[in-house]
Amino acid sequence: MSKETNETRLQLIPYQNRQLSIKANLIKRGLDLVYSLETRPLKVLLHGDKHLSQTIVEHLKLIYQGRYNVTGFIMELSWASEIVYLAETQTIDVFILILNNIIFTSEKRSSEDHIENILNLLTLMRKTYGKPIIGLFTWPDDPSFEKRAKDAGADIVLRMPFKWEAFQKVFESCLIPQNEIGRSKSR
Amino acid sequence: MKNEITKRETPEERELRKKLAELAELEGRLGEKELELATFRAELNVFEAMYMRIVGVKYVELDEIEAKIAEAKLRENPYDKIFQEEATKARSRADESKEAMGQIEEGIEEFKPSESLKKLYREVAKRIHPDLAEDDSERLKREELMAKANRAYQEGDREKLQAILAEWEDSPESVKGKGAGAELVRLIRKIAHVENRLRKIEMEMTQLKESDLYELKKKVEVVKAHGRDLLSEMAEQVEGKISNAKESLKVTKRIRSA
Repeated sequence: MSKETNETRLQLIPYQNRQLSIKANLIKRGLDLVYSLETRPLKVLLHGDKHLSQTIVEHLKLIYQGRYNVTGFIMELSWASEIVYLAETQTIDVFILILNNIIFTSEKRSSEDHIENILNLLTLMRKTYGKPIIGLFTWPDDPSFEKRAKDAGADIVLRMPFKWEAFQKVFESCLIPQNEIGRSKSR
Repeated sequence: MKNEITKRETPEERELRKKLAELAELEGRLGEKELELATFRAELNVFEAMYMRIVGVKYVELDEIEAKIAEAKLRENPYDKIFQEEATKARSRADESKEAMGQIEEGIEEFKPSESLKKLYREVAKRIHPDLAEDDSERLKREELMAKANRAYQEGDREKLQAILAEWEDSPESVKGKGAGAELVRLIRKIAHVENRLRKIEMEMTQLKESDLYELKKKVEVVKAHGRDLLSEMAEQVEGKISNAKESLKVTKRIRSA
């Protein structure tokens, strides 16, 4: 390589670095803007088990700090009517329901009736509110229940006990469609 | 009885054959990796240009107004060091943003290379790669051609790529030297160069993937998958800041003229 070419290249390096750095500043500002827009409210309704719900909310707050301002609406008693009432009066972003703990006012008492009621509630909530529903359950043992709950309207159904990593993965997948950057102001 | 004389392969020739096969395999990988890097770079360039046109331009406007506000405040308090510093800082930021916009090339709209263009580029990279050079003058020649090839690939210019390949094939540098021993040494060096380049490509890919630009590009793509245009939403946000800054500038001017 000729001496002249080498010298020209050496002279170019600080110039190119400066060019890259000033462009990088504009890009960093854009990225910071996106991050600032991402810190938005995230309302989660949890019910069925106070301690489990509180643990989940605390974990979510910790994990999503800076990105989401997580508010947990925790219900101790799991009346179906109360779930619907809260969904009606609050703009809930994600529902986390312990399906087998939901209490219905219906006279019907059989296990299959209870399952039917759960599935009907899921369908109603999906149709009315259109927000992600994570269904947790320990009962029934019926292996087809998961599919039935999903068909009825739950986005994801997890059998308890579950690993936190599995839950977080599920929760993340519920967040993607609502990652509505720039729309938070309209909420 | 047949009276045949068969030439036995010498140890050097055997080694040469092995090294040639090794180099051929490495050249194939090099072509592949160079293609991957060039494609990645080109995609980032396109995204960067798009970002600058949609969002960057708004920051330029905002920075200019903010510089004017800072300068107007300084005129009110010409001896105040804090106002002096702020005005200098704001002006320098505005000038830099303007300068950054000036570097963005016009006409970069999208980068979607066809499979045949990729194949051609891979071939060019494999044949003319600078790390296959045997001396400095050959390296220089190869570097020039490789730069031209990168440019042609980014522009999707097939004819230019073919012409570059033809130019190389006709050049004296493409003719190989003679003698097994010398050839073996050359091959070992070439292999070392190619391996080194492969490592560098890997490093550059990692750096690019860790860059803010790539992070932003990924976010834009995720949001786009849900039918939204994040860049436009960002531009809208900066426009809001511009409106506020314009109001502040008016107030500052009003105070001055009062």
